[in-house]
Amino acid sequence: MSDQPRQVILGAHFPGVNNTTVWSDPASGSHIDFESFRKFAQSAERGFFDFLFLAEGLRLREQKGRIHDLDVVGRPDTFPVLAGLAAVTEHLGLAGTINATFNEPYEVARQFASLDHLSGGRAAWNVVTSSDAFTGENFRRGGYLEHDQRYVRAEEFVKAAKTLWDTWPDAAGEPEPFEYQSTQFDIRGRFNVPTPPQGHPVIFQAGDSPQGRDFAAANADAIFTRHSEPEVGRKFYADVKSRVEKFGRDPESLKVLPGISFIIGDTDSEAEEIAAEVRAQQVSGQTALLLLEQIWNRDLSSYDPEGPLPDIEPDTEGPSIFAGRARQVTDPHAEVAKLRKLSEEKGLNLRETVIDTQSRQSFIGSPQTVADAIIDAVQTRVSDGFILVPHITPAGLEPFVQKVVPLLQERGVLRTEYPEGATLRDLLGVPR
Amino acid sequence: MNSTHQPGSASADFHLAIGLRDTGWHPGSWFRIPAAQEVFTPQYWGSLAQTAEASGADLVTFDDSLGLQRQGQLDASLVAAWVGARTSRIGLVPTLTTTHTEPFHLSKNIATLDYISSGRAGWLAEVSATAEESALFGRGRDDLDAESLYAEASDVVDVARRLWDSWEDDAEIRDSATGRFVDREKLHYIDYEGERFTVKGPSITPRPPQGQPVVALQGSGSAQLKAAAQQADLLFLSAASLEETTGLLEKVRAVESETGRSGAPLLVFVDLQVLIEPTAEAAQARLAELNEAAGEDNAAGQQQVIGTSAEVAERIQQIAAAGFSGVRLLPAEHHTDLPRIAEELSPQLTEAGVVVGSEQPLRFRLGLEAAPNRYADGENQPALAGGAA
Ligand SMILES: Cc1cc2nc3c(=O)[nH]c(=O)nc-3n(C[C@H](O)[C@H](O)[C@H](O)COP(=O)(O)O)c2cc1C
Repeated sequence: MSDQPRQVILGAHFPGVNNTTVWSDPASGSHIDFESFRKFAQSAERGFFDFLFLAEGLRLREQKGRIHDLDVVGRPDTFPVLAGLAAVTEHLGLAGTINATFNEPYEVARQFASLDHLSGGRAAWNVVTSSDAFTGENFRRGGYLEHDQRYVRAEEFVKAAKTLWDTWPDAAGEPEPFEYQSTQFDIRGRFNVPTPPQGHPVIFQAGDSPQGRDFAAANADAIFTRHSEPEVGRKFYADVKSRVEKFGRDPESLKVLPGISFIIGDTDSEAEEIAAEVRAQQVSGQTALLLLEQIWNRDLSSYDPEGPLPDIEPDTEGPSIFAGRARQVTDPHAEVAKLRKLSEEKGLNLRETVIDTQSRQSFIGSPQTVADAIIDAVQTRVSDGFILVPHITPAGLEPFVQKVVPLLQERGVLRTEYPEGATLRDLLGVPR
Repeated sequence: MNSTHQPGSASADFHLAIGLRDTGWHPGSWFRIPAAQEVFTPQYWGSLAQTAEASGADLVTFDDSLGLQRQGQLDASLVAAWVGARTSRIGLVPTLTTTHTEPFHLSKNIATLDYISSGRAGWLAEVSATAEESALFGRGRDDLDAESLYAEASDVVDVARRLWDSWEDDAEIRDSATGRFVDREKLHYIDYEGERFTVKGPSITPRPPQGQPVVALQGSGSAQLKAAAQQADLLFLSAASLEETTGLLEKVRAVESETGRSGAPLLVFVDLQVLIEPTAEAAQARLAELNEAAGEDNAAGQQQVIGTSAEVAERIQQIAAAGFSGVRLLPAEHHTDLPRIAEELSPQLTEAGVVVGSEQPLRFRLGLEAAPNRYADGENQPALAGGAA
């Protein structure tokens, strides 16, 4: 071990279309206007972050056959937003979530290559594989992919894209013809964008299944995960890194980056108070009922959020009542039992129970407390850094940038300036 | 606004567009730039767009193609998005093709450009007509004839337009009392079922600032004219002479009535390639150099003026007088001819009352009405959808 502490990688997740994002706060601005993206990105760049991150869903979420209306709804298109941000930032990586099922390799390779040129080597692609027929209804080719084929296609998709990026190393020259044949693709021709500045834009993955982890271990430069808590996180970290070695790669060549929420106060107790207020904002009575419906898989609209938990059992047989979002509960009966126990022990009503379980922020405390927790997590290999998910658009990153970033810099785990001309690969330390 | 315009000359509702295509429209232009890599940098496009904006032009188009043409090109929609964040007045009209790209992706891409540029977005819808382009997607299509491709393009634009309307302008309500962020009654499934495909909707992107960004097509074949009459706001016509172009204009009007077009007639722009020098001799000399660099003559298929800026201005006046809505200038060489458009030609056009150059959203700048939302009931239709904030 050298005395140089492990560096902390920081990503800034633009607030998403779920109940983590608080829209009712007076400070909450537009989630669509480019100005919000510009402010958010510039805030991240002032904080010497490695990258900004955009999530994506290709159909509006529904519950009980109706468009979900309680959370932020709607997003602008990933590629043009990132291209616009390339024009108003200088150093920040620009990571976009792009689905491997509802797109084609030639087009996606071309868009990422173009983005990499427009940003001087700052592009990253989060490869996701949602392949449900519900989302497929928005596409002319429909939901044609079997669930167990999702990573087959994703892997072949990424390989095809890499093939295209490699065909034209010299911008002044000419592209070599390409040909890529696999179970999903049979494409040939000549690619019309020179090899991107990074060679290959950075590849992220965000799926949790064993197949998802293997896909990341074999193909990705970074993995975006929910596992941020120390114990679970360390286990996940070790698992993923050992998979990387299994594929004959250097474990350091894949970065593990959990998404985290955070609340910063002047003191720990002030932060706890703010955190409780934010949780209450995140879970209105209606939202509490909807979140429980996702566990019960039943219509619970007749229950009083300020009353007790539903006394009926979850429906594990019927079709899912919500769509457009990855399922988060694997064992509904166990989950319900856990909630009932909690409600009983603490004397909490329905909404209070949900608040207590569903949305406790990952890091809560004074700037010092949060900085310590982050540094500790990275030094003890819970992760290689974090993707911060603020609850306010566009200013939600500011408390962290203003108060925690200087502490991370003092401790020598975060850059104090961007290296001149660095690509995102340079920032992350993931050479091609 | 300029009040000096005279009868018979260009009028204030005549518009100026500039077409950009890698290094310029003469194939020899590629060999006369300092470094080929330049066209793959954003600075190059930013500087071109700023010059075009300084010229007072209403809009700039960005040529594109999925396949390899000449020496390669960045994705035009992303170039336009980059430029959108660095300019403030000029309309931005990238080429996006309808043959292989999902309509859902096309619609949100243009909607987002409209957000980035605060209401300056347009879309030049093109088709991918070659078997080589199909092979890039692994699609052995046997319907690459103009009829099929443009009928499909018309459907794709139709779907994109429906998706733009699939959110009403006031769908986002942020109503704390009921806890609702959106009023879902104002989000609409488009449930499109055409001959070629189906799309459910709504879009994931709210209605763009212009409501309906400006849609353009280019070409002069009957398939293009039909698709334009059905779905476009604007048509770029290419023909070798003014007489020929004027004949085509009559044909456009006939196709409009055949297809039962309702609403505003198509804005018809004439493509005009320009090479500008202080004297006619100097212009011919540069043309010869370009032809030699390219190893071929410039068979443009468009009207051309190889001459002085005064000659270009005169031709534009003739075009305006012939009843066209505008001209799209295609600089032979971006490096040389675009600055000359801005510095020499544009003041002459302004004097003649041709270039108006306001800062309105592109629709209004082109004289189009505010776009009503097909899904909204009459009352709540703001003049400019969503505001360009
Ligand atoms: C932290 C995290 C973030 C994700 N973000 C997205 C997203 O923005 N868009 C999307 O379509 N899927 C997203 N997913 C879904 C996954 O990419 C993946 O498609 C899905 O989890 C199925 O893969 P799995 O079975 O390996 O988990 C996310 C998953 C995780 C764990």
